[in-house]
Amino acid sequence: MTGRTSRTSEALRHAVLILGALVVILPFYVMLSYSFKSPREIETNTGGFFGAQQQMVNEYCVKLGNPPDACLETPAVYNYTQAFKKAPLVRYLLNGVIVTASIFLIQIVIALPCAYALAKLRFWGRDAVFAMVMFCLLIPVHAIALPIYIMLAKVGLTNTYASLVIPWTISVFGIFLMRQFFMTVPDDLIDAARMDGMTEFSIVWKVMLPTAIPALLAFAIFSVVAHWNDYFWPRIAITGNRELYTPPLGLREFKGDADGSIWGPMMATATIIVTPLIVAFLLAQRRFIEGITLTGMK
Amino acid sequence: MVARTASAGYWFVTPAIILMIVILILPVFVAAAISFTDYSLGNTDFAWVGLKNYDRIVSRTTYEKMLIATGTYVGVVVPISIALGLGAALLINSVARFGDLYKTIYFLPVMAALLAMAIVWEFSLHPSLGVVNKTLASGCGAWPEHFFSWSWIPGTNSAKSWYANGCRNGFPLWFGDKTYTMWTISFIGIWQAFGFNMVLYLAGLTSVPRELYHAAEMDGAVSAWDRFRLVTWPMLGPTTVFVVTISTIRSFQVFDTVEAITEGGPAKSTFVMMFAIYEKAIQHNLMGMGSAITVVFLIFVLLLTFGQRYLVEKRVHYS
Amino acid sequence: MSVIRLSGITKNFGQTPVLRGIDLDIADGEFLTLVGASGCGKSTLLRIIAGLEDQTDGDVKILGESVNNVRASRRDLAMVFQSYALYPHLTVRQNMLTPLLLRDLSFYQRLPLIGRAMPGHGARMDTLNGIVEETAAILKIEPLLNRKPGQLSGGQRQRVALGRAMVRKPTAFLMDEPLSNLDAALRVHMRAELSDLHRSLRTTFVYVTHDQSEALTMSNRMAVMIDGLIVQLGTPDEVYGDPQDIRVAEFVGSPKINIIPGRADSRGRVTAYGTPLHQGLHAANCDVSVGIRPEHLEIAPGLENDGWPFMVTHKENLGSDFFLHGNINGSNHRIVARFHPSAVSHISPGDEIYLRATAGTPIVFGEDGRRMPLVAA
Repeated sequence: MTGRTSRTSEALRHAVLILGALVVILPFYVMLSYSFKSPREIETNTGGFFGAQQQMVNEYCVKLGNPPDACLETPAVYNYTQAFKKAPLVRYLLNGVIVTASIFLIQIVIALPCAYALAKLRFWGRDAVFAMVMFCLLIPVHAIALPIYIMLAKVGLTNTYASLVIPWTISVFGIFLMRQFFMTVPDDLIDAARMDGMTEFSIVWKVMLPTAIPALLAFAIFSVVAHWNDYFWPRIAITGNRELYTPPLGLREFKGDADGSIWGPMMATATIIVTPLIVAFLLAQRRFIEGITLTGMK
Repeated sequence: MVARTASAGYWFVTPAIILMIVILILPVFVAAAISFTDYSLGNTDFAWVGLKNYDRIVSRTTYEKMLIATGTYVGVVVPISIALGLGAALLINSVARFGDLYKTIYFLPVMAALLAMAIVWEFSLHPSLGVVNKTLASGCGAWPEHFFSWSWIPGTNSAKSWYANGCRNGFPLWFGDKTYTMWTISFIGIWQAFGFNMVLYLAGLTSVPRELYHAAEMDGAVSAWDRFRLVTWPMLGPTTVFVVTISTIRSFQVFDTVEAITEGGPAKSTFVMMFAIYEKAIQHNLMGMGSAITVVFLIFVLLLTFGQRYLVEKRVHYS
Repeated sequence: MSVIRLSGITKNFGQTPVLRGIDLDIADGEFLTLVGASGCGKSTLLRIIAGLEDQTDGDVKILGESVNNVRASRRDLAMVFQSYALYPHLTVRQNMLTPLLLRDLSFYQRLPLIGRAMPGHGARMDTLNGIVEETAAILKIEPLLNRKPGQLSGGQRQRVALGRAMVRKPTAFLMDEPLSNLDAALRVHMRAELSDLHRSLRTTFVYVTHDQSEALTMSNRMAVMIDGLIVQLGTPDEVYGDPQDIRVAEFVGSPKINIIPGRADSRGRVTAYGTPLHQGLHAANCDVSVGIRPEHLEIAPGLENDGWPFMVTHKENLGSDFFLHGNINGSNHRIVARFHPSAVSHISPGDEIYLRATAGTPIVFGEDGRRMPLVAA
């Protein structure tokens, strides 16, 4: 067979891959491990992965006037409860969910009918509209964040959920992707639905949508990952109202207030923010990777 | 029937058109317009200043540094993350077991919020508390120092090596030291991006026709390099076009790591464009300046996209 | 001396045996065809010869030397693939240069920019280009040298694939169903061209196909493969006229040979549908199958002259021949007979006529499918 790989050659490849894997995993390891550790362990870099979990003294509790003995806590518990107490992390996570879900739903509502019209319906100007979509693909939203912000400020919409969601509602990428998929749906299927008396609107949701579930799933993954992790736009759009912070903003705020001993809770916060998508990814790897490559290969 | 579907067509595309105009196209013009003013949010009046903002960009050293920082970052991150992505894809494709495991691990950084991981990296690279420096320091006086200061190669002055220096004087401030900062930030960017490129290349590799490898074998291609040059690389042409385009645009938009860790410093060595926009427009409320940088940024992105498409498509074979 | 010798080749894919013991000697300069239905293992065998697959057991010897541990690129064989496998990003000229570059130029001489700067590059390239142009002239593809495969028709691509195989003047050419992607008319044309090429080059051709007409028209010898074994190896005449196995008889020849049930009595005389054949068998008291080729059936005047009553159900006009389809004696078994147009001009579907086998032409097979030779009764 071509290229019979020798044992040593195979071993060497694994060695390189393992080395790479170690570098890639390093920050995850650090994040998780230090989220369990006490400040002393953090400073001295001891304690193994989980930390020795010896009772530590809660400095703040002491400062409030309590005797040290009453202020003993397990480091892991301390770190994670601090993560939720020092800043309204639950609120931030909720914001993340609200914003991500809203963005995705509105994107679908706007993009699917448009994609259907561009793929299957005939009307004057259709090609012009498609050309417009292709042109807009060249404009990254982050690049025009500033003028959008100015426009939102002018209508008084900054510091609202609307400001977090509005710029993302139009996903030309989603329109493009769904159009490509819709074009592969046989016209006969659509004509049959029309003969059955379905309105065009129902056709979009009852006929086209079910056939494009893989593409939709891929797009969903792409959208959710991008917006859950987005830091730049929320940073610009939310300037005063803490209540509206998305998870990355919350973590940044945490860091902003940091003094030396806050590393444990900060790592805990980072873990909490990063975990949902990582877990989802691990459970549905194939779907995720398919999704990202699908959006890539178009 | 045709009329009805046509009217449905108009209803369906209109919301998208409106949003495209308002959210994507209009802002470009707004940015262009404001770039010629000295507008600030909250002021009721502003003055037209012509090309003054642009003039600043080409003359002031701050902006010179901005362009250098952005250019360096893109110039480092794009080629290396693509090369690593390709390399990882080739390696994973060629090993018999654990391929999926490696794939998963390498893809994790893409899924994790960059801001969060940037902060974790900052912590890991902390001069005294960070794992990296601690591990490096723990090797001082033992075999790691002996090995990495090259003292086993005859004729080298091991005391001058980087590692030995670090043992003596302390290992670098990865973010604080101006000579290191940009490289560290670039490293984080590469760390985050190469998994994505890897996945794209893995998909591309599956579409290379296997018989071409057999033909190459029969033609006398013996080494992996021969096979790569003759079959793999040319067949990955379309994938590479896409990867380069996407990687470049994404690296141009770097912000999270800079804002969270270095804030453009030290001495503006990491003053990338997106951060510059943020600092000038949001922090200093100089909308005019921010808009001018935005316009320059957009022009770069457009030029890059077209340039790449044109150059590479001329030479790429789509069979 | 045989150019390629296979001894005891077996191949299993997991638990499934694909080749069950192949012994084959291929002579220098011969056109040998491996022919059989899909799944018989012929392509696998070809790839084992090429070195693209490893055999599970057995030896492959090329020019007397065992090549079991020699990789494909070092066996000095050339292969033409079913899909041609041309490098899509290279011109025809570059495609044909590739084997020469890989063979004659060292690693450094082949590097993109540096190679060009090395001394002697110009002279080397001139020699190699000369070989390419020579080969292109033989195949009549000179005008195509600067085009890319994507711009060529199927037939042109096939010639380029041939050219790429020919430039190295290999020990043998291996061809994996090279004509199956061409349309019918082109296929017939290319059959003749390939035969001409073989004659002029005088190199060994090992040819794989599922099309028995290709095997019959082009080969010096053909090996009929069924289920991982070579059932018969011989010249086209031998395989067609003297099949040793009923499956070979049914596979070779179009339309298929007619098989009718027969019986050998205690004296070895064979009767089919009540009519005795003119010859007998050594064996006795067994059921046999009698094979009669369509062209060996003639119209009999009546029952008396060994005729079988035949009900015509269908008449096919192929211009130069007519085929009558029908049933003998009311049996369900479909019989096809070939006739010259004038012999059957008066016959139409629904007619009842009498058919008989031309003397000496029936071929008898036993219950196990093996050929049973006929002797004078």
